[in-house]
Amino acid sequence: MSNQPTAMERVSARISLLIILAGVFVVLSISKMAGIQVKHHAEYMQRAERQQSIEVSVEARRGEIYDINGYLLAGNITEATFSVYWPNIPDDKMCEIDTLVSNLGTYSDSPVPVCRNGGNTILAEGVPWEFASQILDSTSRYADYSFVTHRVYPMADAMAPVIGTHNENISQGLEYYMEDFLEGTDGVSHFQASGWAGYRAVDAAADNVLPVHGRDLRLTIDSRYQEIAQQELERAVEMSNSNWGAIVVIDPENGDILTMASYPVFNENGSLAMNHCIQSSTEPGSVFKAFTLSAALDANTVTLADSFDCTRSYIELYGHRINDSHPIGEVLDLTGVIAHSSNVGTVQLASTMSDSLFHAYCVDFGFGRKTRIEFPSEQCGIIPDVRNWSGLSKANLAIGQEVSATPLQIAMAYGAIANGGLLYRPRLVESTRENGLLRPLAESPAHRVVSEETAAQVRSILSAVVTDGTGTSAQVTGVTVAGKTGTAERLVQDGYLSAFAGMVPADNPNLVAVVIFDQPDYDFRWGSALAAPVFKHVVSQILSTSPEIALGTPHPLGELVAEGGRLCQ
Amino acid sequence: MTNNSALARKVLMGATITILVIGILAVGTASSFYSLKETGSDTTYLKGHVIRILVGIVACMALSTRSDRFFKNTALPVYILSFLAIIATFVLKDTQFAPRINGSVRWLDFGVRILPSDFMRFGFVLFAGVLISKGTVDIRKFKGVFIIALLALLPSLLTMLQPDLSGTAFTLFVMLVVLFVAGAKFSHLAILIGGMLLIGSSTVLIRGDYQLDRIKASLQENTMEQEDNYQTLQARITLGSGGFSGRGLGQSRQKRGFLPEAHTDFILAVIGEESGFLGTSAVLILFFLLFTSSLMIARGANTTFDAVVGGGATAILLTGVMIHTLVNSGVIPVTGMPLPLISWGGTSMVVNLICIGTVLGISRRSNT
Repeated sequence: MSNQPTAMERVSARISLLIILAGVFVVLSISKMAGIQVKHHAEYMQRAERQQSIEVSVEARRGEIYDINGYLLAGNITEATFSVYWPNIPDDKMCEIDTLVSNLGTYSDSPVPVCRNGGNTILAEGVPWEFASQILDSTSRYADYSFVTHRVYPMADAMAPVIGTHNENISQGLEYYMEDFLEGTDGVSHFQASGWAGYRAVDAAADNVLPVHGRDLRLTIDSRYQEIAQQELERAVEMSNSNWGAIVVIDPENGDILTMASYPVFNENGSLAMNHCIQSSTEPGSVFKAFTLSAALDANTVTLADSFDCTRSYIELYGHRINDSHPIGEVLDLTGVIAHSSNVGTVQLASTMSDSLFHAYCVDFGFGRKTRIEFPSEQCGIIPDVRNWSGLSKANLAIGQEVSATPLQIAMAYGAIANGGLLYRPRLVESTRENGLLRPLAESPAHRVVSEETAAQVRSILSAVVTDGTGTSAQVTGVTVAGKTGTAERLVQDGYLSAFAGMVPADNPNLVAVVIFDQPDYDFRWGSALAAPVFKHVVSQILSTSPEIALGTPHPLGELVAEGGRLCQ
Repeated sequence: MTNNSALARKVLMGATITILVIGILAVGTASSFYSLKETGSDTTYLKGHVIRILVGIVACMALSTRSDRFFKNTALPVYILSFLAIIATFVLKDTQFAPRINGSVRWLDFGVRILPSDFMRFGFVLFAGVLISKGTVDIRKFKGVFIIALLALLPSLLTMLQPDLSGTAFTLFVMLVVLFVAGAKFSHLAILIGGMLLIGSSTVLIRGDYQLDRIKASLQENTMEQEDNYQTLQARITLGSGGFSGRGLGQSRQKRGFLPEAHTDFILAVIGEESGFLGTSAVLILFFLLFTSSLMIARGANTTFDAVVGGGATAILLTGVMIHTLVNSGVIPVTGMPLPLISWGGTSMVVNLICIGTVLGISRRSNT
């Protein structure tokens, strides 16, 4: 009993010590917590964000492309892929996968019940978006699905020279040039993740950004004309064994491009070929004589009454002979020179102008510089600087040699002759569309090249080419045609060029078309043999599609009455 | 003295009730997501938790009015029964009555799942109190110290084989606190601790099992992504992302499957994520008030039995809080240890409330 008080005192002291130790523990623990929760908060918060938040890019829709009439030329199609990752799927959820496969119907090749294997199985690919979204609600959350959007081109190859192509690897043509308009800005969605597959929710508090969709484009192209031109071109290139062919059709009143056909569409290696209307320049040959004529008439260095001695079928300059391809052997008036495409006469015509004056007109017609069309890799062609001209240069230029031009440049310049002397900047994109609102792009600026009077005179001479001259094979039944053939035996490149540039109706043109074939077989080398008939076929089909080009707007004939009358004698 | 004791009693009851309320909120939020996934309802675990608290409070109140006679009489039966229950986990190993959970057979499951070692620790505290207070053993002699130690070491050997390293460490720590409070000589305690460390480390080295890997993992701070340390990393991320004032009640993100055992072994981390440093500090301070008041009651006890049992009962709570906090903050290797009075987990909750009830009983006796 004598030990008892001592023992109790000892116990009491030990308990006091224990209280102190407990206090020390709590103080240390709190300081440890301060280290983790306060000092290293940012670091752990970052790690937490990394695993708790899923950032998903929300794809912006690429702008669609329409033709002038609203037909879709380039669109998007979204397709779903359904797959399962077997390690994530509990045995008792297998029936949900079977149900999904049944719902997918013919889109899925998987047998029901689905066979489990080790890794990943794709249940269905290429499921249309509308169908996929219908069955999504009832889809097991153990199945994975993803959407892929492809670019689709309803007119395929017929429109490829204009639109180009776009996929995840490459953009070409208009798709490339208008990238800034067509591509939108992707949005971002954040999800709250969990440690278990399938449990996730949209994080409304996060910085979610809606995608900004790309702008749609409405082109000046008329897909009906494009189809006609592309088909005729393909047939003619194959028939004539040409290197390539190009057809540009424009509205001369505003410079709108109605058609830009180019063939072949694809290179031998399968890649998209260049659009020769814009990306190839070539010696234009005799079609260029229209500009020599325009320049001389506009500068008043010749008149319609002037005559030119073409009795000899050649002309000698600095020891060089320039020949007529067909010996004519007469004295011709201005109309005759162009109608018979006399090189001898045209060289004399050009000689009435000074070098610099003729050069200035050539430049004014747009040659030697880009038209600034909305298309990549445009060629500017060549007009030699007047300071570098040789004695032969003016003569060569007058008949379309020593100069190179793109089919588009030729078409725009003929457009100026057609519309009374104004050279327009070509326009391919008519308007853009954003949120359902169409915004027309600015009208193409134009500048005057020749007077209205000159243009009218040139048109009447060009219509004589088609009625009486080299261009008779370009005549179109039911409409007057003005135009010029071109046959270039090229100086720079080998081979020939068969060309025709024309307009309808001849007196007040509503349509200009340029047709060019590069290096056709020898039999087809004349413009009149290949390019002019193709012009005829293309224009005639366009007219049957759009008779207003030849006939003007239809007349309102009055109201229809209920009872019909009978014609009687 | 009386005033102090009355104050301590009030503080103990106040702290206990506050901690229980915090626990209900914490289990509610921490288990909601897991509960929804596993059972289809987000409150399944919360309901079970509240029921166990009610059972525990009834036991607590009932024990707080018992005489010391009652405790002395039940000491041996409780100790022996729980010892037998631990043996039963080996007999019934891998049956439905003693299922293997996370590689360890430590629970008995007869409709209600109980952890025998939880009861065993309380039984040990009572039985040691009886032996020491009766003078059966002389705590000032090494023989006496050894006999008391043996009462804890024998069941500890079994729990170590279950394997339940944390439960074993828990028991041994409670044993040391009981010997310390009872007045064992420091030299005897040092020999005992030295011996245990020697045997313990050699056992781990010889067996070379997963416990060693865990210890190694905790030493390799730079290889956080390792599988063994995934839970430690997640606990740290959970606490750390809470910051100073937390994400807000119910706003835990880590409970969504990132932090395992969010409502049991890592509930302090979830409290830290939702209520921040302020929350974890408040919980730790509340526990400090609980320990202090409880130990003051033990210090003011009239008898050696009450003092030793009061100290031992507090040690059970203290050790639980300590291991849970150290695991959650990544100081020691991950081991399954619920936070007393807060975590979901039946046996632990009931035994902890029994400990509180016992201490409240001591305070009632010391007042009269």
